[in-house]
Amino acid sequence: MDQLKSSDSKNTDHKNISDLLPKRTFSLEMAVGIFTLIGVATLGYLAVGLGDIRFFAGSEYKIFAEFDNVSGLKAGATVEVGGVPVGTVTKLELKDPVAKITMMIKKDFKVRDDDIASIRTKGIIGDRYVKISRGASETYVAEGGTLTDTESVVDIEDVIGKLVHSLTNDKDDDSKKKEESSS
Amino acid sequence: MRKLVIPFLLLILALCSAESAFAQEGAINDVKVTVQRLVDIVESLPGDPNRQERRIKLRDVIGERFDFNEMAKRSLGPEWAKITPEQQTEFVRVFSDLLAKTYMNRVEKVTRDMVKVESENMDFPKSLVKSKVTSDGNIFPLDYRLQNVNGTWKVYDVIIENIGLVANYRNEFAGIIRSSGFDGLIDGLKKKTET
Repeated sequence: MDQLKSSDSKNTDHKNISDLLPKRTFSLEMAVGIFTLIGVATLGYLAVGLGDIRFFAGSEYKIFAEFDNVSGLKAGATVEVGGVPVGTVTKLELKDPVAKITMMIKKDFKVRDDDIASIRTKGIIGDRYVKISRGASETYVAEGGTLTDTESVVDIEDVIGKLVHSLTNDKDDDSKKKEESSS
Repeated sequence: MRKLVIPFLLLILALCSAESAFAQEGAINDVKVTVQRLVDIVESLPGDPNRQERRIKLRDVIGERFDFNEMAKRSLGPEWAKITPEQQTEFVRVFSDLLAKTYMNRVEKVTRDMVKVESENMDFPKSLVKSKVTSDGNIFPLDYRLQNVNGTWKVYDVIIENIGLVANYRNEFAGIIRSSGFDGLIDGLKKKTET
């Protein structure tokens, strides 16, 4: 009986303390977890998107590239050679009248000063990325250097439209020539 | 003597700034002059009878402004360093012939108002000269990348609708070199210029 009484009093104590705290239900735990995840994710996004915070910063070097148009390219986009990532775009800014991007490139990949940086799209509806095609120069772009040989964003539908148009005109020219030579 | 010091210093300063102004002169006028000369040739030698003479003169003018050696080297990319000087010379010749064959028809159609050279973005010794070409009601951008070599501006790349000539050929040539090697590439290019 005494034991029961003492356990009762203990139970009462526990009950008092636990009264102060909210009940640990599944939905509460879930909400706290999600909130924490959102907080951490936001911090991560801010760190990468807004700042220049890079992991393993010592193994990369910074170069710039200038384009007429970088529409659709975002910070975090990959820099690739032959489909293999060699770096990342970390910043886009306006250097009137051109757009200037900052790229962090792996130290063991030496960018040549006649390499061409092109903004391409992964597939038809994919993300934009920077493709580097290799040149013949023996001069390399140093830390802080700029690539000026670049190809800006190409709207493939425009190009196809104009190409079809010019092909049609060529056919007209050819058929006119045939008429003139036969008459 | 003291009276002469300041005027003397000012003279030196004036000479220095004049010299640097010369050295940093842009490419835009040179491009305009080249375009004008091409138009003049096309206008003065029209039609089929003048075709051969016209093409020779056009190629001469183009050869003065375009650095085919540099364009060929850049289009070949990393493979350039792996071939012999003789192979390099042959490649430049075949590449130039191919460009002439591919684009001569277009150059021969140029008229006085077709090409408008508009602006320049210079970062000495390189420069980007922008122009607009009007053809059949379409207006499209045509940009020239130039490099100043010993005081002369020479074109090393042409960009039409944001697609660069060098980048385009570089992609194409890299694929051919991977499958058939440099010999396969130059044989293929020779066949194309002969047909």
